[in-house]
Amino acid sequence: MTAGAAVLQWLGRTIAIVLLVMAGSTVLVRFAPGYLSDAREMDARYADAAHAELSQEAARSRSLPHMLSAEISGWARGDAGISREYGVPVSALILPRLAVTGGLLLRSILLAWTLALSASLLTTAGRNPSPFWQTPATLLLAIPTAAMATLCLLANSGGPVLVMALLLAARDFKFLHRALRTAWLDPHVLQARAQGLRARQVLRAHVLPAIAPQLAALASLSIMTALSAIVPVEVIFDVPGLGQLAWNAALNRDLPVLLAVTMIMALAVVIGGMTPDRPPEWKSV
Amino acid sequence: MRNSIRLCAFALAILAAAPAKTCLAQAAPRMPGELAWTIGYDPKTFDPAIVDDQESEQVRYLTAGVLLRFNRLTQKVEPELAETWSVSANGRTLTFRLRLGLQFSDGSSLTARDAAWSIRRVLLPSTHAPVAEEFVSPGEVTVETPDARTVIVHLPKRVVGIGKVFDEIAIEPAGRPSQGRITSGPFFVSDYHRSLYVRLRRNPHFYARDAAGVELPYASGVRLDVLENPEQEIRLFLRGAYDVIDDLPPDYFELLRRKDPSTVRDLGPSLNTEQMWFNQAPDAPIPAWEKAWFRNRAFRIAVSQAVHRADLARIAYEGHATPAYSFISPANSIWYNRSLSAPHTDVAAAKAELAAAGFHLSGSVLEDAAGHTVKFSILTNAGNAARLKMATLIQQDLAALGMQVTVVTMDFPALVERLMHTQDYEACLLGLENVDPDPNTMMNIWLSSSPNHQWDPSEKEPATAWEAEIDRLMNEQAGALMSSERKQAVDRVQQIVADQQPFIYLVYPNVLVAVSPRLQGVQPAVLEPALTWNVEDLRLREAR
Repeated sequence: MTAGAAVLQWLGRTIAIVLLVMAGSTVLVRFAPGYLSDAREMDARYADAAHAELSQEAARSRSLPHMLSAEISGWARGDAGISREYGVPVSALILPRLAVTGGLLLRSILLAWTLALSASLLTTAGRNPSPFWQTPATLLLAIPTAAMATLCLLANSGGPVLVMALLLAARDFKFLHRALRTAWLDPHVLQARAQGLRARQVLRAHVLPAIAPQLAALASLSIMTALSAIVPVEVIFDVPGLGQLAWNAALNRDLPVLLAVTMIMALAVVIGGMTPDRPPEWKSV
Repeated sequence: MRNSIRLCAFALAILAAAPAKTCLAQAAPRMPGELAWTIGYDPKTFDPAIVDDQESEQVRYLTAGVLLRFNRLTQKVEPELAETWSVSANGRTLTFRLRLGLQFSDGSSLTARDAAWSIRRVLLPSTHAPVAEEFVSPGEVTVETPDARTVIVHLPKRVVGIGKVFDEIAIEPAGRPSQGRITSGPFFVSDYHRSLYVRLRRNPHFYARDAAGVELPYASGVRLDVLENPEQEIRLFLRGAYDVIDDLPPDYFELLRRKDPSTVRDLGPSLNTEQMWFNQAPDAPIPAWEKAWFRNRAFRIAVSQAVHRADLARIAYEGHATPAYSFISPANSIWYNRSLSAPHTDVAAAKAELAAAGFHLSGSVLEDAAGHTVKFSILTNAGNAARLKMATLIQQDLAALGMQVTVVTMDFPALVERLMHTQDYEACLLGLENVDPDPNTMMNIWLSSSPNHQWDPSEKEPATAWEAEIDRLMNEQAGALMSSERKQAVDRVQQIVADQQPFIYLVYPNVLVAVSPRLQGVQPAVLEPALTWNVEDLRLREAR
């Protein structure tokens, strides 16, 4: 297959995924209980305004195909619509939050990798995997993200970066340790070490090149893991990012916002997945 | 491996630094003399005329100059931008005389023309101002300005409590609505970062001065941080990032009390009520026999008698609530019916009431005369710990009568859909927030034709004689000239509600607040905004 065909195939697949995400989100939100209701209906002061907005929404969402085509044509024109909850263009809500979430993800992943890599290098050098590192990693993997975030909040210590980083580091450490140890015990590496090559040189010249494809695959896995944790972490720590926006949009049945956020997430996953094939032992993850 | 050890040490250093930084990420830097507290979500608008959510209302309260202000402490209407005001004998003409030398925050003069323009603007149908409804027939209201300081408002008919309506009408520069950027109130909107904060700056041209002649407000500004998580709010409050917390849930009140008892205050019962009711709508998609139970007065009375309200207050609200028997709280001293006779907790009487109505026990299970097991679900909203605890306690109380109750929680939109649209529920437990002590504001609950007449919304005509009587009495009090006549009518409505129990009132949650020891000038009130209603008098100890 030529490079052009491969790019076309990737583009086609991406567009298909995005369209599926749009359709899925629209159907789920439109038929979620409470789509055509508003808490303000219960308040005499605001009930009239709420009823007027609901009537408009009811007219707009009467037919699902019409709703979908309106959303798709809006997006095709570069118009993500108006938020039902806030009454402002969705782009005005998304853009500042994109930077917040992007920054949080980046810092978390960097910290997680630094931690995981450091721990893996330390344990790889030993004779056996150290329970000192293995046990905390296993424990961290067992604790749900939301519980870890709440614990940090109650203990008045730690923040979103720490929670995300610990979650990612625990997972990354398991894989990195395994990959490094396998490479470290390869016959040619053992030979190099026996000949007196320094650890730094062994790592740079033999170990890291050998595990580079696994590292790339692990990077994409880190992005996906981080995306799955972003909603609870942002909600619990009140981080004004995309995760918090998605949560509020879901609670308020704010379809235009939810569509935009899910599409961004889908694109991030698709782009994150543009890495070399994962090794067979990671495919179950 | 030495390098990797160094790397590890470096990582651990970052690890230690990261939490400290991220914990403080939410709080924007505070300016000297600036007050700070939180709002739960972004205000939907800064246009004071079209405010239709609580947080926008808060911004309007802090920024809007109004002709009259409803004093939250004394519960009386007081002149604000108007120096004097009067109502004609027939209640249809209001005359306001403005203070001399009024200015907007940009230094331009504020005259009767601006006041008239602002009033006309909220009355225009195209503005969609919620406050217009309170004029009853807004299209027929006329406003005139005989001179630069006088505004006369002509109403087509008398409106009860009209003074308070002007507490919600911001006076803006004529023809220059500014989204709160140019105001005649104590502050104006200077900066807004969506999802982060709204910053208000002191209006240097605000008319008010203290007794010593010092210009008000004292504070240089107010920063309203958008923060949803109460735990985060408490954490930042304890660090001094916020000066007040309004409306604390009881569990968080206790948490804060344990950490710093000097900061929290229980102001006693609020105007709000927590109640449960049964679905009596004839079209509700529930079995006919259930509708028959719910329409049966004896059934409702028995349920009311089985509920241990003192336990609800003690357990669900950790002692920060007061048992409730009426829709008017004892905090509303003017309208509360002190001689009310309502069914109190009496399980034996409840059993007798049910037996007389044809219910009987089959083993430990209650059945109706036709042999249907009495079981139903109580719907409430998810995320409200006190409500969920109350529902569980009620489930236990009703088990003593042989009723099988399940508790169902749902998120608010789904719950509203069931209550307002599909009527697909059996019983519901919710609260009602009363922002105004005047019972006239509860017309939408009590008139049988109202969509908010929860147990049977939008009745074409009153379904029962007692509902017809409530309709008549509520309309009567709305048109009565004498306050004693109004009080008599409202007392009677309270008694009918106690006798019929369409709403089974449970508790009045107490007003729970937290105030920073640094903040001076606070005079807590039961009405909202409980701590900041006199914002112009608030200041931090260091400032000025």
